[in-house]
Amino acid sequence: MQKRGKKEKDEVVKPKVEKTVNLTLDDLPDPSELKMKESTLQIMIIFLVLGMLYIVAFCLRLFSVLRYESIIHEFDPHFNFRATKTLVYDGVEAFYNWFDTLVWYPLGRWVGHTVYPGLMLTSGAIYHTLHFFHFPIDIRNVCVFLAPLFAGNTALVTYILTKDCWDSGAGLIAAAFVAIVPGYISRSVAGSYDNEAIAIFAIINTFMGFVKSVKTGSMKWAAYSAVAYCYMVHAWGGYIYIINLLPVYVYGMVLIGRYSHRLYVAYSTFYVLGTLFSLLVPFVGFAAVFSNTHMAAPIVFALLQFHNIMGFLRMHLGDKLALFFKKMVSFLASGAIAIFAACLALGVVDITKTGRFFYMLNPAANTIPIIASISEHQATPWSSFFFDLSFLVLLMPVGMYFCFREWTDGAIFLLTYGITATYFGCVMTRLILVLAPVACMLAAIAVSRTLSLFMRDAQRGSKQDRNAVSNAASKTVAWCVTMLFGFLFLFYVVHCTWITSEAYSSPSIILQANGANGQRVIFDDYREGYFWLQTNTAEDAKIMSWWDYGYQMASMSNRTTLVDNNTWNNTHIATVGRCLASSEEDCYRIMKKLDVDYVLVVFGGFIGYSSDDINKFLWPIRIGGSVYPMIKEKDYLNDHGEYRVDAGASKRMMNSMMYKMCYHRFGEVQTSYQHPTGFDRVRNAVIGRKDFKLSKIQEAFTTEHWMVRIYRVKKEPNRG
Amino acid sequence: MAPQADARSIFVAFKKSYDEKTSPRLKICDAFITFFLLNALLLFAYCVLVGSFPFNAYLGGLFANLGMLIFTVSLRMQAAPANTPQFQGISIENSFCDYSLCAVLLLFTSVHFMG
Repeated sequence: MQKRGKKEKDEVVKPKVEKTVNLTLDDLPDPSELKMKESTLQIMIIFLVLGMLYIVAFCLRLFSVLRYESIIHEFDPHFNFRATKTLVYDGVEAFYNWFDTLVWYPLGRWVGHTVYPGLMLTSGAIYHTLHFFHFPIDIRNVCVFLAPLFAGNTALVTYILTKDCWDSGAGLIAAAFVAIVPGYISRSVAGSYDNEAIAIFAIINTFMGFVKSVKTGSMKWAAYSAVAYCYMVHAWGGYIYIINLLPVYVYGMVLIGRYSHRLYVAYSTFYVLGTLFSLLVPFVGFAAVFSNTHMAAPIVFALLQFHNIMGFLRMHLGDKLALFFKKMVSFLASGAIAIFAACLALGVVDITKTGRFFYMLNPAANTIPIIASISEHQATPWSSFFFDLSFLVLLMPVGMYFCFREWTDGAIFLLTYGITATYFGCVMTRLILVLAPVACMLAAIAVSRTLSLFMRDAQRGSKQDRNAVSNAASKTVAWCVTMLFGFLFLFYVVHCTWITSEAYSSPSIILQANGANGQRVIFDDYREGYFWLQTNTAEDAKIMSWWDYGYQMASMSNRTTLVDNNTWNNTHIATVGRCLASSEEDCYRIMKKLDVDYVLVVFGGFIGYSSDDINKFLWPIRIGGSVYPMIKEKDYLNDHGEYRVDAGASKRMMNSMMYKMCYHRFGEVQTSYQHPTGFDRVRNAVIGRKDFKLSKIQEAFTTEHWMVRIYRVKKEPNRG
Repeated sequence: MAPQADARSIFVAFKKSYDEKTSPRLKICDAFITFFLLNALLLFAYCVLVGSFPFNAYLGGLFANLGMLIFTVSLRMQAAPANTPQFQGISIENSFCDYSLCAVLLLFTSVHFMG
C-alpha cells in the first residue's frame, strides 16, 4: 500500500508545481484542448441520438394502439396482465403465495411458484411510482406501454455494449439498428405484454456488465452483471442461454490461450453472485444448482479455479510441480469419480434428456406433440431471416469477419454470442428475437468499419494517390459507397416500418378486413364472446375450450377454465382433446366428470378466418391420442388419407363433438351466392353433414360473425 | 525416494518459496482464504453426514463462504503488484471498495436464504 500510494501522490503533485512556475505568454492553447471541445461535441451527439432513438423506438411500436385501442394482445399477455393485477391490488406477499383456483379446473395452479415474476414486478413498480407522484395511470396502460418503454433502454445498453467491444460510432449505429429491427419489434409492440419485452433488455444488460468486467477486471462490474442476471432470471426462462453462453465464452478464452486474471475475476464473481441470485426466483428454485441444464457454469467455474491454482503452484513450486501434480491428480481423480458416482446413485444429478432444452440441442428429435404443435416452435424458414432482420443478415458475417481480425476480448465475446444466437435462430422461429440484437451489433461493426474507411477517403482522397485524377477517382468511389450506405439505411427504415405496420401490429384478438367498398370491417367477436360469458353465466361456471383460449377467457370473462396456454399438464389437455374428438355421448360423460357447464369453440368458416378450431383439430386429436389410445388420427382422415369436412369426410370426423359444435345450424346459412348453403369459406367446401340435432348440449350464444360459439351442457334429466 | 520424503520435499519447497515471495498483506488475504475454504468444507461435511434438511440454509451458508473466498482471491489478485499491468486503472482503494460492495450483496442475500 505504502509504495504504490506514495508514487501516485508524488506523480500528482509534481506536474502542478511545474505548470504554475513555467506559465508564459507562449502557452497557446494546445491541440489537446481542441480535442476536448471535439469530445464534448461527440458527447452531445451521442446524447441527442440516443434520446431520439428512445422516442423512435417508442413511437414505432404504437401502430395497434392508434388503429384499435390500448388493449392487451395475443394470449400469454392476458395471463401476465391478470397476474400483474393480482400483484398490484393484493400485494407482493399475496402474489408470491397466490394459488389460482380459476384455472385448470380440478387442479388449480400455484402461480406464485410457476411464473417468472420480473415482468409483473416491473409493472407494479412503475405503477406504484406513478401513483406516488399522483399520476393515476391505469394498470392496463402501464402494461400496454411497458414494452415500447424498454425498447429505448435496449437501444441504450446495446450502445454501451458495442462501444466496449468496438467503438462509439459502431455503438450508435447498433443502437439505431436495434431500436427498429423487426425481429425485436415482433415481441415488443405496445400491447404485447410478454416476458420478452423486458428480457431482451435484461440479456444485453447482463452481457454489457460482463464485457465491461472482463475488459477492466473490476469486481463492481461483475457484481453489476450479477444483479442484471438476477433481473434476467426473474424476467424470462431464456436466462438459461446466458448461464450457458458465458461459461462457453470463458472456456473458449481459456482454450485459445487468452486466460487472464481479469477473466477469472469477472467470471468467478459473476458465477457466485449470479447463482445465488437465481435461487431467489421460486420457479427456478434449487434447479439452479441441481438441474443438468445449469451444469456448464459450475464446471467452467471449477476449471477456472483449477487453472488459477495451477498457476499459483507453478510460481511457488517450480520444478517440483510435475511431481506434485502426479500425486494430486491420482488422488483427486478417484475422489471426483467417486463423488460423481454417488451423486448419480443418489439421484442428485439428473441426466434425463427430454424437454424443451434438449429439443433445441437436437431439433430432429421432435417427438412430444404438445411442443411440436406450437407454431412459433417450428424451424425457421429462410425467408423470415430477411423479413426480421432486413439487410443486417447480409452484413452480419462481415461484422464477424472484422471481429476475427480485431481479436480482442470484447470482439471474441460478440463472435461467441453471434454464432450461438444464429444457431438458435435457425432452430425456432421465436428465437430470432435473441438473434436480432447481436445481428444489429455485428452489422453495425461492419458498417462502422467500412464507412469510417470510405468517409476518410471521401474527405481528402486516398493518401497513396499522388495523381490528382486518381485522387478524384478514389474520392468519387468513396462518395458512392457512402451514398449506397445512406440508401441502405433509408431502405432499412422503410422496411422496418412497413413490416411493423403490416405484420406485427395485430392484436390477434381484434381482426380487420376490407369490405366490398373498401371500408374497414372490424371483427371484435372474441371480446363479444368473452363478454357474453362474463355477463350471462354463473360466477362459478366452468368453461371448456381448447387450451389456446384459456388465458384470454380467464382474463376477460373471469370464469374458471379447464386448460390454458401454460401447458403444464399434458394429460389434462389430452382429456379435453379426447372429449372434443369423441362422439356426443362419450364427450358428455367426460364433461359431466369434469363439471363442465359451457363449451367454447372458435369457428372461422362464416367469414373465412383460417386460425379456427377445425383447422387446428388434428392437434387435439394427436395430443389426445398420445395419452388415450382409442383416439387414432387416421380415423379422422378419409380413405384417401385426406383431412376433409365435406361429403368426403370420415364418419368419425362427422360424428365428433368439434364438428358438431362448429357446424351446428351452419347448413342453413348462405355464405356465398355462388355456392349452396353451408359453404365453409376456409376449407372452401360445402360441409358434409348439414342437418343434425344436438342432444346433450344446446347452443347458448354465437357471435355476430359466427367466430365464437358457446354451448351450454344440459343437465341430466330427472328420473321418474 | 519414499513417498513421504517426496511429499515433505514438495511441502518444504512450497513453504520456502511462499514465505519469500509473498508480502505480509497478501498473507493476510491468504489466511482469510484458507479460513473460508475450511469453513465451506466443514459445511459440506456436515451436510453429507447429518443431512441437508433446510437446504436453503445450507446453500446460504455455502455460498456465503464460497463467495467470500472468491472475492478475497480476486482482491488478492488485484492487490498483487505483479498483476498491476492486467488491471489498468484499478487502484487498491477501488479494489477494496468493489470487494466491500460484492461482500454486502453476497452476505445480504445469504442471510435472506438462511431464513
